[in-house]
Amino acid sequence: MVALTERKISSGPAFEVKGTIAPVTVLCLRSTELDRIEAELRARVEPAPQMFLNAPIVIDVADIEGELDSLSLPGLVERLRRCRLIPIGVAHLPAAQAKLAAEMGLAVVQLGFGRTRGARANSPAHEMPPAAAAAPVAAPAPAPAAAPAPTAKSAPSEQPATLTISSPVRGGQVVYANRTDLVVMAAVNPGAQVIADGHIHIYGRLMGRALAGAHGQTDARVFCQSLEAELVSVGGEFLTAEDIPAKMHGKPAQIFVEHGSVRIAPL
Amino acid sequence: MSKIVVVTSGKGGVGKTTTSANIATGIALTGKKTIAIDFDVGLRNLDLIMGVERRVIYDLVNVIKGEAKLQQAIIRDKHIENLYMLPASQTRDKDALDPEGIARVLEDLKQMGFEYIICDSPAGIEKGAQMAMYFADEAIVVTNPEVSSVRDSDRVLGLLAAKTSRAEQGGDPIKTHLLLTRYSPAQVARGEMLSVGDVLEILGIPFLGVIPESKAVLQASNKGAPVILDELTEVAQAYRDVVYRFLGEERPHRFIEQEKRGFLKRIFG
Ligand SMILES: Nc1ncnc2c1ncn2[C@@H]1O[C@H](COP(=O)(O)OP(=O)(O)OP(=O)(O)O)[C@@H](O)[C@H]1O
Ligand SMILES: [Mg+2]
Repeated sequence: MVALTERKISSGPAFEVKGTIAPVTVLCLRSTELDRIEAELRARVEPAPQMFLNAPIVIDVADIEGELDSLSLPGLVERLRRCRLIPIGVAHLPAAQAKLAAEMGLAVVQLGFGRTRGARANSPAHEMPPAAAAAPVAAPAPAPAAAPAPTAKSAPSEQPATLTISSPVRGGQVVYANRTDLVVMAAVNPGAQVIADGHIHIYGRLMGRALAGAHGQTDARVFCQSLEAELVSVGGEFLTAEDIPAKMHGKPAQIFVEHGSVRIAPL
Repeated sequence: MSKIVVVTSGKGGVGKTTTSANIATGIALTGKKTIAIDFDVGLRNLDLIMGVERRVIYDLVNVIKGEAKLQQAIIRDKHIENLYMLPASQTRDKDALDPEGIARVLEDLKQMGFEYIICDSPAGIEKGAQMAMYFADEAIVVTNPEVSSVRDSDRVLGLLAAKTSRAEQGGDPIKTHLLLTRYSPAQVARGEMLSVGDVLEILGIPFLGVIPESKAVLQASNKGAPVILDELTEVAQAYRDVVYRFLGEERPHRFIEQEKRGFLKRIFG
């Protein structure tokens, strides 16, 4: 039985081949111990489940080249899936092992950005998200609370759509806009943390922490209606509440990096 | 239709147990079959405030562990029809609570025709508090007008939106209500306490009202009769208003502003 619509579609080619660059998260392994990897992943993923749920992951083994023999690739894939991530490929895998990867359904991926084997990553935008980049924030234990339901859908192409949050971000919650901008149409309460790889716009009081350019993008900015932050950071440089001049307190402001240091200017 | 209501706060000592006892009593007085459950395992005190401590035989943990039947553990109030309570254990700790056990108890209470099931949460945001809120349909967030209490309530609102059955099953979110307790208009006027507006601006949830700071609360709990029964006191009237608002009636807000003092009072005051 051939449906009419089917015949219509099949009158052209069955598909089209397109090249694209899609966002993936790269897990740059620094260890081969599966338990440790899984524990650290959970600590990273669980505070912000909706940011990572079913995220495509490329496993980069460049930094553990010497210890590759002690890495169980099938074991790692299993651990990733348990954390509800989807491993799709391996990067910097020696040719001899490519077959093993293929058997497991993993592609051998070429990573761009001039990153050479063994070199430390300095293609920050594609590393695993930011607790480490956001140095001053790494200290508190991962928050147990998930963030308010975001209304973003990731666009099919290069950059995910802006993440928009319309309810207050409460103490203990962490919102992370992965590789994109963040718009909060409510307050960021004390003890809350909002993070973006791009800009952050807050149309309410900023009373918690805001970290824009969380992977070192110094061209990112934080914009807010009322600056009462505990901490603001752009591209890894930060100011604490004490550093914010009293005359800017409670005022609309933008925070950006100029000549290597963080600046605050009225809006 | 039964409703499970958690009374929670994050911060300790803000008036959760007092509120649980008074709201349960107030709802029962409107003729609805109501039970208050003490989830503060290890620190039993709802039974004291409700004046039934001498009648406790079994407790919530006994029921969950299958050591007693639910009917054996429930205590019926001697003075108020429709009012019941289920005490906490004093000898166990919060690890004795498990979600399956709690779910069974709540289901049985629904079968027994309880219309309101009021869960008095322990302080904190750890397991005990999470167990008390897990199955809630509505939450009364008890807050004092000071910064640390407001922050903890904010934190708890985040947990209510993430770590509860409704959040995990993707159902309608828990309906949250703010209750400001131990509120003193005089101190607010002097700038020593946050005002209703300050607190609402941060928490941004529907407002049930204020309960004034009053010595009558302590006196009532020493007597073992919730203060709502002490009809002439402001606290009792405030709790009554709150019960009606919680049940969906409109009531003008009272006790928020400092009373205008008369001329003589101002002089001799
Ligand atoms: N409106 C009020 N006016 C004066 N005192 C009050 C008021 N409400 C509560 N209190 C007092 O505050 C103390 C703590 O109240 P309560 O036990 O209800 O708090 P809680 O939040 O249940 O505490 P915990 O976190 O320890 O369970 C008690 O001594 C009580 O009498
Ligand atoms: Mg209590």
